[in-house]
Amino acid sequence: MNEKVLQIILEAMTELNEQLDENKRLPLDIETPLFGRNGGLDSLGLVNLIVYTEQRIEDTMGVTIPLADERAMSLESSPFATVRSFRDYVVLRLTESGNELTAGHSD
Amino acid sequence: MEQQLVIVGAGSGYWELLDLVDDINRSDGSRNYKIAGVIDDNPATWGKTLGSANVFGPLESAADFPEEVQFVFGIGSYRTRISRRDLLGRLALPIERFETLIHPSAKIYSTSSVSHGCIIHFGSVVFNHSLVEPLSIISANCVIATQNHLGTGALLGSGVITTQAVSIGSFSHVGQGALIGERCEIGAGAQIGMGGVVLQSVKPGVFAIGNPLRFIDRIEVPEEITNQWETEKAAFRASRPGENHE
Repeated sequence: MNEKVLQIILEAMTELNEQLDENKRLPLDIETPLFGRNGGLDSLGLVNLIVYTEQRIEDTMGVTIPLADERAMSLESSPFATVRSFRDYVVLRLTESGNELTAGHSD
Repeated sequence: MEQQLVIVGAGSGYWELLDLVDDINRSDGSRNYKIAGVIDDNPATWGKTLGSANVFGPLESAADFPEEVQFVFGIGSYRTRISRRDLLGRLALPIERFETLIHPSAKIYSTSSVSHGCIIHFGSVVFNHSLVEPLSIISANCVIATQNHLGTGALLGSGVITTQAVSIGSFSHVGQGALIGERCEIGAGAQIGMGGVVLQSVKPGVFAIGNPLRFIDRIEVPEEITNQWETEKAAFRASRPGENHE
């Protein structure tokens, strides 16, 4: 599932990059910082990335997972710090919602 | 009688305050403010003139002004919302030394109160039975509904609209055009991005934005600020017997 979710996030980043100036585009890499210290996104950019990711999850997995609710703020560290932390958080939320099999079968 | 004012902060907010003071002076003749100076931490500004006022610094130089001079604390943005408290500490002034400036076009309903050191800009309205604690800044065209409570140092961008019994925590920031639903609480030090539609309470230090509201960041808020907000809330509830603010 990790690979599948990473792919979804990278696609969402590609969509977001199309709207950003060339010097602000996000490298399509798992270690890319997203938001906060060293992050390349401002708040609106992050919200767009979250929305694009949610939409892709809905399209490919048929589930609606809110990725920026209060739960995201209760974690020790921000799930939006890097692509890796975001990927891990999406996988966690999908697993909790019982969609790991759906996601796994689609790999 | 002339009242001398010292503006704290030589940034962009200074120029807004000049207009605000000018409009108050022109309104009905009951106030006659004169800008006696500006204080700022940036050494590059010291000794220069801004408008007709000389710039002094650092912030500790507030102590050099005579006791009859009042201060206007104009520093405030989402970035500085928490550090404003430290800046205030460095000024080392009693709260009574901070002047409240309310634009003549703003309306504060008679059952509401606005404390020391608040700044309320053009066209804003504070409806019945609301309390604005010290050093809050309400930008232009905000509508604060009934039984609202704004904590010390709360910052509201232009066009914020609240509904009944909303609480906006100490040293929080609510961005331009945000809407806040009935009985929601913005936690101390929290931040609402511009255009945010708040239909649930937001915890201290959390940054939320959008419609639906998305929670995207959280900072640690100093305990002194959260404790201060809890104390202010308890006092506000106690002052409103028979009203349910829960």
